[in-house]
Amino acid sequence: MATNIDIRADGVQVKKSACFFCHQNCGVLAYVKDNKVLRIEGDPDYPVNSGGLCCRGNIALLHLDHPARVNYPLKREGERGEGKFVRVSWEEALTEIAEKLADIKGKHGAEAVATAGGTLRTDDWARRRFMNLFGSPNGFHNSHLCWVPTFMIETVISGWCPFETDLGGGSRCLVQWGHNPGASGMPEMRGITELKKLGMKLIVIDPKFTETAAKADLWLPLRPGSDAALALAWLNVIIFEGLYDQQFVENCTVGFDKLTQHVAQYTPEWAAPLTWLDPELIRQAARMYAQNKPGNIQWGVAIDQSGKSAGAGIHARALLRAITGNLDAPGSDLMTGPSKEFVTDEEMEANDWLPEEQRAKQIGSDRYKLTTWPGYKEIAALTREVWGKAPTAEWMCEAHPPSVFRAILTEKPYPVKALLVSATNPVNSYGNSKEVLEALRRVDLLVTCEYWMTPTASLSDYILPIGGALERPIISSTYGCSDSLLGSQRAIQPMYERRLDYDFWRALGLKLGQVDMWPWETVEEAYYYRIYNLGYGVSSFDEFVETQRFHFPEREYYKYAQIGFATPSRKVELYSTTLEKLGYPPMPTYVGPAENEVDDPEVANEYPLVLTTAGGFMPYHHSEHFQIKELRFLKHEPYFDINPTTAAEFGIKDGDWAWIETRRGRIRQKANLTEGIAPRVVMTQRGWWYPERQTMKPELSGCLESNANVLTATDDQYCDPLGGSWANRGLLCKVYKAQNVLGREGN
Amino acid sequence: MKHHEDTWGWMLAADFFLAGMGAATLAIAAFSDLSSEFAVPLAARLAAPVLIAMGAGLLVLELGKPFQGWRVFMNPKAILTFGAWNMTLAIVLGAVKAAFYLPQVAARVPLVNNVTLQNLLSVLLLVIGLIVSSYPGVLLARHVARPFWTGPGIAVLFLLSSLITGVALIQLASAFSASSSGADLRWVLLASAVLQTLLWPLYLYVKRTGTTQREAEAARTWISGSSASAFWLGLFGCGSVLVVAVQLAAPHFTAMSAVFCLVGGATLRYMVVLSGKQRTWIAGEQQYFARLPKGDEAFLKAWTKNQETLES
Amino acid sequence: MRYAMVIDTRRCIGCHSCTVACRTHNGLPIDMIYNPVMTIGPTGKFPHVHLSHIPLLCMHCAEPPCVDCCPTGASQQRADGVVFIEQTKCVSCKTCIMSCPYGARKANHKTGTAQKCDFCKDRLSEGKLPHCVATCHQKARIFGDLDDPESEVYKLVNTEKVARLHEEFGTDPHVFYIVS
Repeated sequence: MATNIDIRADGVQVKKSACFFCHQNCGVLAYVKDNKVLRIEGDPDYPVNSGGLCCRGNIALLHLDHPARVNYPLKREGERGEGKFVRVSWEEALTEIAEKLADIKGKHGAEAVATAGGTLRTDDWARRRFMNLFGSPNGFHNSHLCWVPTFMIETVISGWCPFETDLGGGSRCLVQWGHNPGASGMPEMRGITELKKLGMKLIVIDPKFTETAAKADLWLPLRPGSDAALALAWLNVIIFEGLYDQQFVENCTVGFDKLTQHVAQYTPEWAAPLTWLDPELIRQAARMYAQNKPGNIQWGVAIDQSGKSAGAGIHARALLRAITGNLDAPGSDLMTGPSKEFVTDEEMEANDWLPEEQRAKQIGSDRYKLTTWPGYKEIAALTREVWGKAPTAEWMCEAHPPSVFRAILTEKPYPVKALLVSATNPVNSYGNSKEVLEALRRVDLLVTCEYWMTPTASLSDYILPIGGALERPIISSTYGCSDSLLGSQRAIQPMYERRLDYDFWRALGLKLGQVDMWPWETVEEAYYYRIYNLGYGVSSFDEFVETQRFHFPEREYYKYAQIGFATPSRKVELYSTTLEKLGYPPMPTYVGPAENEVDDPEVANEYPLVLTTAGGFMPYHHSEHFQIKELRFLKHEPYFDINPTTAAEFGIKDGDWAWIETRRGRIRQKANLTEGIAPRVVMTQRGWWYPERQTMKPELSGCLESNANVLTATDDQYCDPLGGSWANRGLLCKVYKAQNVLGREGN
Repeated sequence: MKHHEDTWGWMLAADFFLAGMGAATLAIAAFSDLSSEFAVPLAARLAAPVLIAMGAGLLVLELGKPFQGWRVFMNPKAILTFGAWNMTLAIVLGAVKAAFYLPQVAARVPLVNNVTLQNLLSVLLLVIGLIVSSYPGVLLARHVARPFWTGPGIAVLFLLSSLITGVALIQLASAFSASSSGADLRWVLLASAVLQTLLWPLYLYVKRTGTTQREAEAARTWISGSSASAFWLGLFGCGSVLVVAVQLAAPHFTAMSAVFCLVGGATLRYMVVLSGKQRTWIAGEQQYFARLPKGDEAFLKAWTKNQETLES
Repeated sequence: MRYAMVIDTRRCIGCHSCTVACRTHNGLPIDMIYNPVMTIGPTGKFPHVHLSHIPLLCMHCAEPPCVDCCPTGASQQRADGVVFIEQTKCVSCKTCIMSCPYGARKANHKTGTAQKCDFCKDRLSEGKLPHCVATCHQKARIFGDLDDPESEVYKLVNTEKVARLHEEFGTDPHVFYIVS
């Protein structure tokens, strides 16, 4: 890495780019000359990071031109998994893919084509647009594990998910519920630190004593997956100790009396053995939240990933804001509503083009109504009435991934013959890796858009090379659900023959007859179309970024005073008629974790410990960056957390390789003995694969060896009936030392 | 070599042993010249500067840039510079002095009879010899963050070791040249060995009980830990106790006791230098570095610029 | 003008971004780390535990044991306190590496020299902050002129509870840690 770059030399431009390696999307200044990035640094003027960059942001240039990047379109030769590819042109690849898709559509219907996505990194509205125009309802991401069930349930309750935590508006208490910004949201963590200095209380609900928990006033190390019990007990405490906001409850909600009756049974004493928390601690925390107003409950993936109990937990947690009046008030959790000023993601998706009979075929929509067309339709209708627009469909209204993988394997409810993969390595990131791997092997057509030769890519029929952070522009607006947006421009044109995912969907769409539906030739043109009405008088998206960069409308509190809440009653529904209509409990009702010792004692006999497959940790992001050796150097082997008492019980010492096993399978990680976790809980690291190993079969880069998703459960019995979340947390497992490990395996 | 935090290794230890032995020999020989109490064999006089030169050679090889080794003479504030100059003088003057004892030189060079010159040389060699014998110990003693080394004790023990190995060298040379100095120095050897037998346990005891936790731990390693057998058998047993025993019981076994001394001396230097790998660690440091890759892991080599992306 | 750094351990979350920024932008060999961030804990017994982090780097001491011991004169200290190694003069005798109580100095086997953190002195002359300071999201690293009563480092050192590593060795380190 050259250190003496003269950025003041002639011809060096500064581009306002972004990091793009996580959702914080910090601003990055890129110094560019002759389409080459000389240097990057954090943008001191970007509001999110003020010049800071984490581990991942700092290695942008190592990522950009890494020797293992896929740079040319590839077509499979030989057997799937043999690793024989021939380089082809984009034109050739797209033509063939289009032909095959048309063929599949002719024989099996458009619904036989599914797409799989990852998290961020793509223009998902473009993917949805393609799929809608093609006629398939079966696009999906990891949405069920990431925010979407929360969004939908909270929107059902109060008309729009109150995801905007208005900490700067004077927050007095912040609850981090299954969220660890100390390891995954660096700028967020800084905000918390500044507010703590001003007296804000911090409550962390997390099985592990995380970086964030270490700074908290209260730490609640609950049994993984027992969030529903905890949230219900908080409701009980706040209601029965009279700590709720009477005025808000009277004026703005319906169903309070019913709720009061309903939660009477959910006392802290009832919750204690289920959550493994002291009843007094439960009370103390509930009181701290209710009595330090305004307060915030920061969403985290933990409840979404609980599986069967996710819906109940999310529902109960959502009502906490309502009864304490922490909704749309200054300093509390705000419902921004969709933007009326710029073109939202939903408006770019062409949802109207998907016929009703195709919508009905969305896999999983018969069962998991809230995050598929049945629920989305109800919710979208309500939000259109009140806000004027609907939430993003790509994310909020998707096929159920495990059911799609099973459709590939079993042809039930009907065959799925093609999977178009973009920005994900499903074998790593979707539940029950073995089942996913089998589906990837057996699906007729597998196309992958990727940066790297992942195991999924190596099994594909076509691989398309995609440009990343510095090679593309970005608009962030919280998945199209916030009223603000931030923009970044590309620093350089994509290197080699890489293109953007937008280019892929558009080109494919045009080949499949979606003429006139893709008027924007580049993604900058599409972005310009979206921001045009903001009235900044710019003539291109680049100009917008260079002169404006972001759009933050004036904060409006208590919007409901004018427009009401986007629910049938126009009030916050503590008793939800929408959920009732969809066939779900209208009030949060206790459901035990997907696998638990109370409901499944025989399973608990053989699998005596409780597993959580954990959240993010530096320097990785999901399954990314394991091939950036400068980052891999810091944490080059997987570690799982185990309490020393438990480790001693199984003869495991710090640093020993051990197997962690559930009923789905087992993985191997090294033991990290820590007092920061309860004796009966074990936390594996996520994301692990070994890209330095053979990508082709049989090794597949060790994608099943230490990958936490080998352990997770996706059968319908483990999934949340409301949203379809499968179970990553709170499962039953056992741990035992790995014998006969020669040398330093795993690297 | 912990992730580039290199420490001194066997080459430094060998230098301390060789140069310490050679320098002490020069000092003892100089003393013998000035006092005329006893004689030192020619072999020892000739060996001394050679041994110091060998030590110097190892020091140069230890450098990252051996061909720029001349640079170490540059900083008058540095002990190493002081040492380098003195070692150089010791080699040159020691060789010159020894040359005067060669029959060929004694016959042809009149300066051999210049008493002032010879006395001056001897005085210089006495002082410089003592300096070179002791400065490494002083160097180590000043390392506040190396728990086994820090403090005046190691300087005394190093000087003692130089002395005892110097005497042993002379004894050995005497044994093989059938000269008589051996008998005179026997008492010096005995006294030094007794001192060494007493001072080392004392040093370890003081470290173990009267200092910091890290120093106590370092001493424990020598007393009963991983270095214990090398200490008790090599340094203490062979290099000290056995020497005393042989001197008392079978004093005519000159060569044998000398060899025991030298074995003990070499062990001593090596063990002490290796102990320098232990720094007064900052909390959490060892665990951090222990979890880092060792260097042979596959991911470190997997991706080079020339590699095709199709290859796995 | 005397440069110093303050590290607020109450803010540090052990994300290792400073470690990565430093090694990436300084082009260090893959296994060379100027500033490791150590994790202390969790100490205590579940659930009453405590966790903190200690970023470690060259202390740019006022009494640096590594400067005078250097036989070639490569190891130097500027008037503003920055301790650095003039690479052309260094022959990697490792004396300075051995003398540093903080393990700040490293041997480069390719160049045959020793090297270390130099407070990014080339960036300082451009009015920029060291990489580790600029990159830290938590603003846990504060850098400036300890001689300037208006500077943040001056204020922090004189108002907060600060500690230094291995003060007992008399090195007078100029990296101060704010402890909770």
